[in-house]
Amino acid sequence: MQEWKRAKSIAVLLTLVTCVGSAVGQAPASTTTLQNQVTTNNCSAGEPVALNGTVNFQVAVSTDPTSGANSFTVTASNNLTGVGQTTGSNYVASDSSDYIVSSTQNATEATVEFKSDLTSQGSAPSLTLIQTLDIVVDVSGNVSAQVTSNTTQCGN
Amino acid sequence: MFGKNLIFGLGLAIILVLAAPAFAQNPGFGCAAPGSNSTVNFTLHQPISQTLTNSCTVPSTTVTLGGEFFFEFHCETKANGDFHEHWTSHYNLTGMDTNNIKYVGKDSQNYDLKMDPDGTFPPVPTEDFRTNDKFKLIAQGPTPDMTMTQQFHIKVDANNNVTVEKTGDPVVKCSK
Repeated sequence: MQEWKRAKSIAVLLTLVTCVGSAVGQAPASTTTLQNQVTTNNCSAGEPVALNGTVNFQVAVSTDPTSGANSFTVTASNNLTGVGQTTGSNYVASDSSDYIVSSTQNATEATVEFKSDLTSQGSAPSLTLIQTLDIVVDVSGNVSAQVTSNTTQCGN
Repeated sequence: MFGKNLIFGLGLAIILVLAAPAFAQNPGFGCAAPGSNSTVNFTLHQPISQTLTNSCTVPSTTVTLGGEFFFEFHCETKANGDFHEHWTSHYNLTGMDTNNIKYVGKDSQNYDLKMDPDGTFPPVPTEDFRTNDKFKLIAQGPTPDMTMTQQFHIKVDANNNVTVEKTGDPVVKCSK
């Protein structure tokens, strides 16, 4: 009888741990995969770069109990490699940026520019990568995010 | 629909607050022709004078920056009634460090916020938007460049008044 109680307690505990784990550990997220997406180059010293990798969107939603306003925090982060279409040089980009919208509405939609260094791994000059992101988030944590353009600049 | 028009008709007043306590104010403007494609523009030039520590050099140097942040806003009422706030932050900066190395920062960043994304009536455009603007300071010669990240807080109240605050000091990252 005691063993049965112990097994039951362990089962309840495991269930609780699993539930808490999924509530805390799984923030709403969305990942966009780029496969050979070639940048539009606006840098005289640069070149179009074919990008591969991911852009990840992590979202946290909360509600201010006083004002009732919903706060949507979106962290965009990229992890990309690239190949220069003129020189064959390799590039990497790994950066993140936060965008926080507080709204009295139940959803928010923003278009933002996400800048990161596209660092050359060789003799080619490094570039600034500008990714235009369309992000829609609602209070339920539903996320719809897209990378709508990739351009490179010299950085000035 | 009349109520929605009335809300848009209240106009969009832009009040820009940068680097408190200094602030600039303009008489405001309205979004014309609700329900049709219309755009109203507003610009603000904000002089900047500040110093920052460049830890990308060894030893660290102090960089004195001058120039301006320049903001372009427009509110746009689409034909379907959607109301958008769009703005572009421009940076036109020059700097000089304690080793007499010159820096140039000339960059921009774009944002667009749809004010009534769930289509509810009225749109109640009460929004706070915190952004991280990134721009480069290109150093003269072999001195490392810097990437500056500056947080801004853009607020729109129920009467379409907009304020912009520079939040905290810029974060500097080495980028060459």
